[in-house]
Amino acid sequence: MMFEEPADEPLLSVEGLRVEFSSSSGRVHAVNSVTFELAPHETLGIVGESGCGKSVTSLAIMGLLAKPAGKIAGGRVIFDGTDLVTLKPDEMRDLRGRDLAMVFQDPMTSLNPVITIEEQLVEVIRAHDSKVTKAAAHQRALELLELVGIPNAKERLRGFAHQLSGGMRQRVMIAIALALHPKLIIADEPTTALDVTIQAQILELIQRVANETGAAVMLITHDLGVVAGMTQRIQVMYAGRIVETATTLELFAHPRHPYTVGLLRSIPRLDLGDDRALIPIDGLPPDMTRERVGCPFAPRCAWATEQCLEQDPELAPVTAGQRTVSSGPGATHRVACWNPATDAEGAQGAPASGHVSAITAATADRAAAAAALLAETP
Amino acid sequence: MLKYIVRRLLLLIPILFGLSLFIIVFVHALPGDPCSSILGEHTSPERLAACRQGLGLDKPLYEQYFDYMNGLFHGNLGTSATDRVPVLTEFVARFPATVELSLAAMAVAIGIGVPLGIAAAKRQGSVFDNVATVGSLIGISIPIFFLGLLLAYVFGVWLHWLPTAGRFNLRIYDFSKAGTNFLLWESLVINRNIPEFLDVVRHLILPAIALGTIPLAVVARITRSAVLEVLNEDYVRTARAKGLTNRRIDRRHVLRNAMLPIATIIGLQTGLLLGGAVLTETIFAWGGVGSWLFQAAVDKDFIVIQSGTLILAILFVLVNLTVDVSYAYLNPRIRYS
Amino acid sequence: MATGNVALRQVLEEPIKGSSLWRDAAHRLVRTPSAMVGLFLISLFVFVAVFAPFISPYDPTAGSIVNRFEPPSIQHLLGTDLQGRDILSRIFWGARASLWVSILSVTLGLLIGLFAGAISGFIGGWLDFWMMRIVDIMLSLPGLLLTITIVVFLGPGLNTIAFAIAIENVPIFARILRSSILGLKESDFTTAARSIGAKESRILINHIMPNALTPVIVAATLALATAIVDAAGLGFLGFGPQDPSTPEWGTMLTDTYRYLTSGAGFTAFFPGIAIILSVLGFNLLGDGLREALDPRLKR
Repeated sequence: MMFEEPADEPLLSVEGLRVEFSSSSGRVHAVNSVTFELAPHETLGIVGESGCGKSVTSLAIMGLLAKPAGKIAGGRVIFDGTDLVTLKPDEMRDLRGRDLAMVFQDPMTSLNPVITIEEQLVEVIRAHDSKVTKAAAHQRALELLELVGIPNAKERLRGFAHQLSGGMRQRVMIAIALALHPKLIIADEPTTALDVTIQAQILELIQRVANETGAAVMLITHDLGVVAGMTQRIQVMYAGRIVETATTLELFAHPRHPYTVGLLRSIPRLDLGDDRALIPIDGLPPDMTRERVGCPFAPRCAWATEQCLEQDPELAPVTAGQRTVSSGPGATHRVACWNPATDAEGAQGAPASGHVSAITAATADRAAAAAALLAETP
Repeated sequence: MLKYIVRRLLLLIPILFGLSLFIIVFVHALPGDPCSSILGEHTSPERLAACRQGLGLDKPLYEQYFDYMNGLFHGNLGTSATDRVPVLTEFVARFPATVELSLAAMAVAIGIGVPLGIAAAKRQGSVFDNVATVGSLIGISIPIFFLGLLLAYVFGVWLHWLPTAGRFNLRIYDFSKAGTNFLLWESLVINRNIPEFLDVVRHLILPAIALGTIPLAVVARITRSAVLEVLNEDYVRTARAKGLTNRRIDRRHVLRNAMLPIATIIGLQTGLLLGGAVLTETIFAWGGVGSWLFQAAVDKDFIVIQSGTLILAILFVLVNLTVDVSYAYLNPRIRYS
Repeated sequence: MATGNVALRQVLEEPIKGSSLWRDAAHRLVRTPSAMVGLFLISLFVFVAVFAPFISPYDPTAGSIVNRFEPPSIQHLLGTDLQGRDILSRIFWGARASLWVSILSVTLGLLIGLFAGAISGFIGGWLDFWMMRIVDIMLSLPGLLLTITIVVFLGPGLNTIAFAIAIENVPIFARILRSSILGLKESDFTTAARSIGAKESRILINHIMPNALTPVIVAATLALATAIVDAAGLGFLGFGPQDPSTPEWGTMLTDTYRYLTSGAGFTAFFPGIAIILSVLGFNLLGDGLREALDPRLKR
C-alpha cells in the first residue's frame, strides 16, 4: 500500500452533514451529523450494513438525492474549495461527471438499455465541453474502453448493454466515470452485484485507474473484506452516523467500537490463520423514523451500559492508554463509544467476563415482570 | 428483423383459418336467420325454403364453411342478403371513412395524451398531476355515446360552431375528381381546394374527439406511469451523475425508454378503435364500417357480419403485428436476438 | 420496568410486525383517497338501486303528457321527460337495471372465465394451447359489435345484454387467471412451499389461488365499470328493456335526446351523468385496488 504525503487542503470536507427523507411513515433521519475529510489521491472506505446511510451520504455529495423526498437538512460539503450544498443546480450539474464521478452498485440496470455504449460514453464527454467534435469524442470513447480492459472495444462501442456480461458492464460504468479525469470517484458497492471471481478484477481496475489518473476514491461497501486490500482509511457507519474511523491497518488490528468488532468477527479472516467461528451480530438496525435516546447501537451491544442507553456518544479520539496508530491524513483513530472494546475483547469478539450488558439485564427485568404478572392472573 | 416480420406474417395464415371457423360457428350458433328478417314473419314456408337455398343456408355447416373459404381465396367475401351489394365493394367504399376517423381520433389521443402524461409525471403529486389524473379517469368513465351527444349538442345545436352529421358539405365538396373516399387527402392533394379541405376537417372534429377521448385518457395514464417508472430507473440516475442537462436526460434516457409501453398501448387502442367506431359513426351519421356493420347486425345479415367481423379481426391482428415490429425496432434487446 | 429507560422501552416494546397480504392491502386502500371516493360513489349507486322504491319521489312510470319537459323545480328536482315522468325517480330505478346487468355479466363471465383459466393454467399442454388460441381469437374480434350481434339474435332485454357482455369478459378473465397461475407455479415461494414438503393441493389453495386472484379482483372491478357503459350503450342503440315501464339510463338518454331542440333541454343529460358517476366509482376503486394489491407499486 502506498501513502501520499498528507496535503494541506483536503479535496473533500464534509461537515455535520444531515440528510432527511420524508416518507408516508414519517421522517427518516438517514444521515446524522456526519463529518469527515478526504485528501486528494486518498482512497477511503466507508463500511456499514444496508440502511446505515453510506449510500445516502454519497448521493448527497453528488447532489443526486431522490427529490422531493430526500433533502440535505444541514451541514456543508466542501469540495475543492466550494460548498456543494449551496451551489446552483446548473453549476452542480456541470461538476457531476467532470470532477465528481460515480460508479453504481448494479451494472445490470445502471446502463441505458436502448442506446448504444458509444452514445453513453460520448454524451458525458460532450455534455461538459460542446466544442469536442464527434470524431474526437468517439476516439476518446474507444481509448476509455481499452483503458478499462474491454476486448474488441471498437465493436463494443456499437453494441448495447444487454450484450455485455455484468463485469463488462461495470467496466463500461468505470469508463464513463473516468471520461473527464474526475478528481473524486465514488464507487457505491461496485462489486456487490458481481460474481466473486469478477469482484477482484473490478476492484483491481478501480485501484489501477485511480493510481493512473490520480483520482481520490470513496469506496462504499458492506463488506470489510472488499476494503481491506485497497483503502488507506476506513470509516464505519451505523444508523446514519460514523461510529469509528482509523487507518485500515489500525482498524483491523485494534477495532474499538463493538459494532466494528462484530463486523470483523462476522467475516472470515484468513490473515489470522485461525479457525474461530464466525459470529453474527444479533438484532436489527434501529427504526430511523424514531427519535432515539442514547447510542443507536446499544440495543444490539453486548458492551452496553446504562450510560449507553441514556447518552449518545460523540466521535472522539481513542482514549489514552489504548494503543493507537497515526499515519496518513486525518488518520487518528476515533470512535463513538462510551465503553470501547479492548484489544483482548476485540479479538475474542465479546466483552470480558464479568460484564453484564444493560440489555440482558433489562430483558431479565422484563421477564421477571411478566412472570409476576402471570402469577397474579388466576 | 425482416425474418421476424416474415415469420409473423406466416403465422397469420393459421390465425385466419381459426378466426373464420370461429366466426362462422359463432354466427350460426345464434338463433334466427336472415331469411325470416328479409321476408318478414308472415311468409310461406316455400318462400322461406327458397330463400334459404338461394343463400346456401340449407347445406350442412362444414359445406358452408368450405364454400365460404373457397370464395374467400378467390376474393369473394359474399353478398349482402338485404341489399345484394357484394361485401367487399361496400367495405372498400366505407373503409376510408373509418380510417380517417380513427387516425384523427388517434391524433387527438397521442397529440394530447402523451404530453399530458409526461407533464403529469414530471410534476408528480402536484395540483396539475392530480387534476390530470382525475381528468383522465373521468375520460375513461365517459360513455362514447354520451360524450358524442354532449359534443353534438354543445357545439352543433347550441353554439352552431361545427357540423354534427356526415363527412362533408354537399354544396362545397367537388366529386368530379373523387374516387378514393379518403376525403382529407383527396381535397388537399387532388382537388387542391382549401375551403373544401377545411370543411372536411370541420366535419371530422367532433367525431374524432368523441372517439379519441378514451384512448387519450388511456394513453395519458400509461405515459404518466411509464415516465414515473423510468424516472426511478438506475440508468436515469447514471445520466444525472454524468452531469447531463435535464433536456437531454428527458429525451435520450427517459422518453426513449418510456416509449416502449406507450407504443404498445397506442397500438392496442388503435386496434380497438376499428371495432369501437360503431357508436361514434351511428351518432355522427358517419358512413364508415362501424355504422354499416351495426346495420347488418340489426338486419341479421349473416354474411356481412361474418365477413365484416373477419376483416376487422384481421386488421386488429395486423395492427398488433405493426406494434410488435415497432416495439422490436425501439427495443434493441429484441432487435438483436 | 425498573430502569424506566426510554430507549430500552422502545426496543423491548417494539411490536412484531406480522402482516398478511390482505390486511396490508386493506390498509393501503383505506389510505388512498381516490379509492375511498370510488367506494363512496359505488355505495351511493348500490344504495339508490336497492332502495329505489322507497326513495323515489314519484312512480317512475306514471306521468302526464301535460307536464312534459319541465325544467328542474321543487316538485321535480331533475325535471320531467317526454311523457311527464319524474327524471330523478327514473334515474333511481334505472340504477337497478345497471346494477343488475353489471353484477350478472361479471358473475357469469367470472364463472366461465375462471374455470377456463384455471384448467388452462393448471393442466397446461395442448389443452392450454388451444384454449389460449380461442382466447386470442375472441380478443381480436371487435367487442361491441359481437355484443350487439348476440343481443340482436337473442332478442333485446337486460338479461340478454348481461349474457352478451359476459361472453366478452370470459376471455379476459381466463387469460388473466391463467397467466398469474403460470407465474406463481414457478415462483420462489411455491418452490419454497414444495421444498418443505407441502402437499400440492395445499400449495394450490393456500399459496397460488389467493395470489392468482388479486389481478382478477382488479379486472372484475374494472369489468363492472365497462358493463355499465356497454349496457347503457346497448340501451342507447335501442336494445334495452323493451317494456317501457323499466327505466334504463341508456334508453332514457336516447328517448329524451331526440327532443333536445323541441323543449327537452339540458335535463336530457342527467342519465348520462348518473352513468359517469357510477362508472367512475368502479374505475376509481379498481385503480386503488390495483395499487393496494400490488406491493411492487408501493412507494
